Amino acid sequence: MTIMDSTLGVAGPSPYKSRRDWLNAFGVIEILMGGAFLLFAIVILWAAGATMPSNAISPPARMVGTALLYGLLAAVFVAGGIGSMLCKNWARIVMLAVSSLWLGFGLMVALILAFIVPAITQQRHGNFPAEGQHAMMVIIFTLVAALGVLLPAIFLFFYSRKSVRATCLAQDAAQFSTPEGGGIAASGLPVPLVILGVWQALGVLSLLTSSMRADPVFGVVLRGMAAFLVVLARAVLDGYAAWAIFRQQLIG
Amino acid sequence: MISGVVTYFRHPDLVQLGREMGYSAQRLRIFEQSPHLLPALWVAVIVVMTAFLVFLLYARRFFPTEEQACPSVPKGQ
Repeated sequence: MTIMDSTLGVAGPSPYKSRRDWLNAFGVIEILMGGAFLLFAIVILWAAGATMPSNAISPPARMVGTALLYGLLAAVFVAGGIGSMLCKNWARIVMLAVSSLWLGFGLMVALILAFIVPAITQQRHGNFPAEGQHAMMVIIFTLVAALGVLLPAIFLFFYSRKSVRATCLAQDAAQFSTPEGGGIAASGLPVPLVILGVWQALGVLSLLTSSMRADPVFGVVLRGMAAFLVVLARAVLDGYAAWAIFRQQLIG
Repeated sequence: MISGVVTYFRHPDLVQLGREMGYSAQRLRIFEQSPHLLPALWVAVIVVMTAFLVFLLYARRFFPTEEQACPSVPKGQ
């Protein structure tokens, strides 16, 4: 099955195959992953409540922050999955941004683990046998490689294919076609700007969920309220940068 | 980023800096026990920061120019 070429406004057959079925399949996987993230968020909130000291007013801020992060990931993956099943171009762009960042983080974690694993396997942990430790480290590294590198690489490969882009653009053009018979190509925000904006937005989240008790600024370790205000100011600046990027405003 | 570089030159012993920032001894022990970890982290940070800077410069071309953002009436009309 081929699709009509909507990117050039030409009503001829596109050289690309329709990837509707694959978009459906990837959409289902994303929704399942979103469900898993939501489950993590619920479990973390439940654990935060269960382990809270009886005299505490609220659960630890860090656990709430982590639960919020998982909740946000759940929302992104479920939205991306639904959009993907509907062959929406915005969903393709969102998943491109998400999988690029996911792959970047995964590669970094894998690199760091590659240095940590030998050090940990050299240590003896109680009566745990060395072979068992080695096997556990191999399992952890395999999981990180599979979930942090291979999976996002597959997502990135799929969503960056020209046939997937053509399928999504054809769907958008069919939906937004005008009575005159014309169609609009889903222009939207360029993918690099989406990635940059998501990166800045994640920066806000990471700052707000970080420990605000101490922060080194130009070599001076700030503590207490000063550290809190500096971290908050950085979060506001990151948020402003993300907002400007999404509005395609170049400032400075 | 500049703040991070200045901090590194003023506190080259990052484990000590971690202690000053109130990180637990348990968390810092991993750095003391594996001397290759900190240089690896630095390499990872430098790689990520360089990649981010390159990407930032690349992404600059996707912002509309002043003319595209505020198209003016062509001369002679």
